[in-house]
Amino acid sequence: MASTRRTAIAPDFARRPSAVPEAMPTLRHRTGLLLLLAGFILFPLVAQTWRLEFYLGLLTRALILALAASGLNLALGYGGLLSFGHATYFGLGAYTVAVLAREGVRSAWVVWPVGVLLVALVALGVGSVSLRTRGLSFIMITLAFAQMFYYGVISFKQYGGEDGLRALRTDFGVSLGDVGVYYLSLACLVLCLALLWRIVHARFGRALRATRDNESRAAAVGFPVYSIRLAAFVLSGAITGLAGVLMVHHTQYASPGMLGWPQSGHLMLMVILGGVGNFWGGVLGAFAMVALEEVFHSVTIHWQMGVGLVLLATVLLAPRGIAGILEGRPR
Amino acid sequence: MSLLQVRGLTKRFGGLTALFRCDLEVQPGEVHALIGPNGAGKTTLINLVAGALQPTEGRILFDGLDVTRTPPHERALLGIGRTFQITNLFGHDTVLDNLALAVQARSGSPFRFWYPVHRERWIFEEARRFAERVGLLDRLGVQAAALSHGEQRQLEVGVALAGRPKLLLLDEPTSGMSQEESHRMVDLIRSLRGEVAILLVEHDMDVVFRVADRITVLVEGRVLASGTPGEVRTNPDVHRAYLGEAEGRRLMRRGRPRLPEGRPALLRVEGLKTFYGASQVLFGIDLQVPAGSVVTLLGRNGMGKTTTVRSILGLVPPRAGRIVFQGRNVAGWPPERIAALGIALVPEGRQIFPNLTVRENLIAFGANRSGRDDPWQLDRVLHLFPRLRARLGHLGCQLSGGEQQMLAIGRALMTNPHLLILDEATEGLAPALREEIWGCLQTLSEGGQTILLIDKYVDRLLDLAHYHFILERGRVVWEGPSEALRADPTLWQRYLSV
Repeated sequence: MASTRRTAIAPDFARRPSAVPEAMPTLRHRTGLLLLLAGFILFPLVAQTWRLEFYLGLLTRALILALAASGLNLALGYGGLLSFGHATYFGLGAYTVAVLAREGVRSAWVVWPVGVLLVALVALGVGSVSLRTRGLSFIMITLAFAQMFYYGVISFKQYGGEDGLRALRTDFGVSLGDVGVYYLSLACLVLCLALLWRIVHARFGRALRATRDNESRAAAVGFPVYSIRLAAFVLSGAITGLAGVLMVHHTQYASPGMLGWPQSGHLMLMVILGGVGNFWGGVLGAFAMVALEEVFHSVTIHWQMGVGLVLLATVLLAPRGIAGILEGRPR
Repeated sequence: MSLLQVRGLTKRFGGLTALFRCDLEVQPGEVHALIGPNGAGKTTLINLVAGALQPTEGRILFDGLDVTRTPPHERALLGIGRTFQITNLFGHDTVLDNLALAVQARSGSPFRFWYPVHRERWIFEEARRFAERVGLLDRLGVQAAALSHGEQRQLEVGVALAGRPKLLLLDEPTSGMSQEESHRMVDLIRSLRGEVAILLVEHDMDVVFRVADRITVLVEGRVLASGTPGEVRTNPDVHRAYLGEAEGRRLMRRGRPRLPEGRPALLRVEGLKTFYGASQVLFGIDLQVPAGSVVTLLGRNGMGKTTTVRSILGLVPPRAGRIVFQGRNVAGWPPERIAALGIALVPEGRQIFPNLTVRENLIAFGANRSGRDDPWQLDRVLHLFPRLRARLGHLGCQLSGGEQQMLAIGRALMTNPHLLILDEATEGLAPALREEIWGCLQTLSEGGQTILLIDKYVDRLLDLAHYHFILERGRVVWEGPSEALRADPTLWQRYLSV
C-alpha cells in the first residue's frame, strides 16, 4: 500500500508495538504481579538477615529508573514523541529538592509538590514550542532545550556549578533511612504505573496512540492532535521529574550530569531495551539495564562495551524489546 | 441555506496557482461531484474545505459559520468528514478500532484519563453499525493494513461516516477498485443521499453520472461550469475541456502490427514462487518479454501482478524460480544490481521524491544503462512531457497526481532502461491524461522500447500491446497475442471483469 502519510515524529520502531490495545491483565498476570509486589515489599526485611544490603541500593536505583523510563515511555512509546531531553525533567526534579534543602526547606510536603509542579511547568513550556515541529527537528529541539537547562544549572555557582550539590533528604515528619527511600520509591512506582495503566486504556490513551499512528487521520476524525500530545508530554515529564526527586533521596546528591544528554540517551535506551510502547517497557528496561551494568561492571572496567553489545543485539534481534520477547510472537 | 459555501477561494503554492477565485455551494443532503482533469485543483479544494490546507484568499462557510481559519479537528467536530485520496487509516488497528476511534473522537473530550474505553460498550456497538453500513462486518478483527485495497477504501468511508458528518468529502473513493467494488461504493454513496451532503472527487464518469445531483467542473484551478448532470453533460465548454477530449484524442490506431516471430526474449521468468511471510502469493509464474515488445500482465486486484513485478525487480526476493534477464539469472540479486542491468519501474502510487524538485527527481537517476546511441536526457523527457517543463523548480509534493505520474515515467526513462515496467501508470488519472500517457507509451514502443505493463483498461491495452498474460491467484491462466484476447470475450468475463 502506497502511503504518503505525513512524517510522524517517531521513527518506525516507536510505532511498531502494541498494535492492539493491551487487554486488562488476566487473573494469571494479576497473581504474578501481586507475588512480585509481595517480593519487593518483603525484600528489605530479609535483606539484613541474608546480608543483601548492597542489593537494597541497587533495587532502589532500578525502581527509580523504572519510574523515569515509564514516564518517558508515555511520550516516546505511546505518543511517538522522540524526546531527546527527558533528562531535563529528571535533573530538575533532583535539583529542586537539593536547592530547596540548601535554602532550608526540608518538608517533603512542600518540596515534593513544588518539584513535580515545577517540572510539569518546564515540560509545558518546552513541549508547547517543540511540538510545533516534527521528525528530526523535534528530536533536535528537545535536545537543544535540554542542553540549555544543563548549562543553566552549571552556571549557578552558588548551587555547586559543575560540582553538583549535596542534598539532605526531605522530611516527612519522620526521617528517611535507606529502607524508607526504598519503600517510597516502590510506592511511587506502583502508584504511577497504576495511573499510567488507567491513562493508556482511557480515552486519552487511545487518542494519543491514534495521533502517533496517523496524525492527519487523527485530526480528520476530530482529535486535537497538538493538545493531546502536549498533555502527554507534560504528564510524561512530570513522572520523570518525580523520579528525579526520588533519585536525589537515594543518592543524596544532585549532579548536573543528571540533566545531560547522556542521561536522556540512557533513559531512551532503557525504554528501547524494555520495549517501546509496551506498558512494561520502561520497568523491564530499567531493571535489565541496572542488572546489565552491574554484571558487566563486576567483570570488566569496559563494562559499557558489554552493555552496548547487549543493546545492539536487542535492537537487531528483538525490536520489540524484552517485553516483546516475553510476550512471544507478535499479535 | 447552503451547507457549504466556498467564496472566492484562491490557493497558491509558491508560484503555482492551484485554485483561483473558486466559488462552490453544496446543499444539505445532495451529492455534489467535483470533476476535472488532473491538476485542476480538486484535491486542493477538498484539503482546503477539510482544513488540511490554508487558503491564500477567500472564505469558507460551513453551516453558517466562517471556518476559513478553523483547524482540521474542529472542522471535523463541526461535521466535516473526509476520506483521503491515498488510503490513510490507522494501519495497525483493527477495522473495529479504526471505526471506534472515529466514534470516540466525536463523542466527547479526549482528555479523560481514568475510565477505560473498552467499558464504553456503546462506542464499539456503534462502530459495528458503521462496519455493517460499509460492508465490513465480517472483517471487524482484521488489521486495516491487512485489508485489500478495496476494503481499505470502504473503511476510509466508514471512518469518515462514523464521525456522523453533515458534509462528507470523498476524494476518489473508487480509485484502484475493481468493477464490483466500485459498484458497491456507488450503492453506498447512493444510500447516503439525503442523509449527508457529499462532495465527491471522482474520475470515473460512470460513477459520477450515476450518483451526482450536481456537478462542478474545475479546470486549471477555475470553475468552468456547475449544474445538474444534464447541464454539464451538454455544456460545450466542458466537452472541449474534459469529457470530449478523451474521445478526441484517440492517439492510437486500432490493431497493432504483429511482432515479427523469433525475437529473443529480453526477460524470461520461469516457475516464479514468491511469499509474503508465510503466505504464498505466486505459485510458479512463467512468462517471457521479447525484446522490442509491449507485454501486459492482466488480472483482477490481488492476483499477483504487482508481486510478479516486485519479484522481477528483487524488491521481494522470490523463494523459487528463475528470472533470466539478458541471459543472466538475476533471481536473488539485490534490487539495485537488477536495476543497474537496465530495468526501470514506474511504481504503483508513483513514489516520486516529495522533497526533490522536478529537475532533481529527473537528473538524479540519469544514466545510459542500455547504451543507446540516442539516450533519454532531460531535454528529451521534457519534450515528451511539456507540462513538466513549467514545473521544473517545483517540489515533487507540489505536483498534481497526473504530473507526478509523468514525472515517474520520466524518471524511469532517464535511466535508459532495456525494460520499462509500468505498474498502474494511469491509475487515478483523468481520461484525457490517460490517453496522453498511452500515447507516450505508443511512441516509446515505436522507438523500440521494451515495455511490461500492468493496467486495468484492457480495451486500450489491446491496441497498445503485443502480448498478454492473465494472472489469477498467483498463476498464469492464459497467455496470447492481442488478437486472441480480443476475439475471446469470455476470457474477459472470466478473469478480468467481475
